[in-house]
Amino acid sequence: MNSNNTKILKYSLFLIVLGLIAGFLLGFVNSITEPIIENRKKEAVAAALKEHFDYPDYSPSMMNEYPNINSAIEDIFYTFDANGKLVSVIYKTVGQGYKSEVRSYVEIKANGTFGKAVMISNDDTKSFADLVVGHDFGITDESVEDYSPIKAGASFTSQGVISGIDAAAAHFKTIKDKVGGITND
Amino acid sequence: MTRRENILKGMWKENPILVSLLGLCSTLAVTYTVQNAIGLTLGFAFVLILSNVIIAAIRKIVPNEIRIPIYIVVVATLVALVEMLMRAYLPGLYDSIGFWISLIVVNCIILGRAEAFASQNTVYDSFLDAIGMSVGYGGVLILLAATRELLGTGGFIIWDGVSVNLLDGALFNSEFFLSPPAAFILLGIFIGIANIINNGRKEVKK
Repeated sequence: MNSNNTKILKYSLFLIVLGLIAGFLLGFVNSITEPIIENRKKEAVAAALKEHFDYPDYSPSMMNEYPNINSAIEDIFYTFDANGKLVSVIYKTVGQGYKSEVRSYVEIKANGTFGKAVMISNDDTKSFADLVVGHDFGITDESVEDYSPIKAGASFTSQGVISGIDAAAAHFKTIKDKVGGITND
Repeated sequence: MTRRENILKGMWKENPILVSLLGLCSTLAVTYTVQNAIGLTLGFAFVLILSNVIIAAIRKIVPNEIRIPIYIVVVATLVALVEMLMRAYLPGLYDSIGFWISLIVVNCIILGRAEAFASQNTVYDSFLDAIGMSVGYGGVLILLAATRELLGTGGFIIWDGVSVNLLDGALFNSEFFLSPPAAFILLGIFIGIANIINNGRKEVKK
């Protein structure tokens, strides 16, 4: 082996050892901070959901359970009763409004009926978009198989929420057979 | 150079921001609140002090040809540590300056001190150099942030719950001072003042 190859081998080994030390150190610190970060994320999600849906417990994001999902669905959460039984599935959805993306929470109960749909953010013209804040889309207790949402005075912004409702309903139909077995364990 | 001169040079004579004009992106970006400036200073100091100490400690076994990748691995590891710790224990601060914490990896000051100082000096001298540079960097950052926040809001928040309200929001209270153009203008004024002082000193010496 010539001296050039020896040098390359020596340098490679040096970098590998340094990389291993760095990796172990980062892994160790990560093992300490990861549970804290996850717990904080769960608390933040629960606080955001509790503003609109009051249940004893919430799951963290369940998006990993549903790969290849419709891009109109940004996140999925489960809500549980005091016994840890699934009450509803909450979809965080995104739809196109007049000039911005409209984000909403759409709740579908385990029995296949809607809870409620609430718009949580948008950047549409304020005077119109405000008409959708607190608007009753008329879907509560309607079945996901048969519903007809009512638009608010701002039709484009409403449509952003309604496209989210449609995406949530379509997804729920694909999982409705297994939601009965979900618990908070 | 005496140890006193070593630690003091970063604070004024070789101040990384006012004299060397390094690390200006993050300086301009985060200084709209004092709290951000303190957070970035702490993260920066942690990385600079440890990277200087580690690089000085391994300087005799580091092959010259691969020294830059080695410095980057050391700095990147320290930055990742700061990021993880900040995300876990200071999430509010991480949300506002997390992006800039990641970019400490490519901060010219850190790599500059590693290459120009720590790789050629003892661990203790490198430690003192890092302390001086951190104080110099942080001092300018906090002064700039305090000026912007004071002119922009009438007061400033040092940390959660600890605030200073000097102008009661009535005198200037202009959001302009919190905007990026104001950061450029005020930093330019700071650098100009530093130049005037340094030139004046040179004249006196002559």
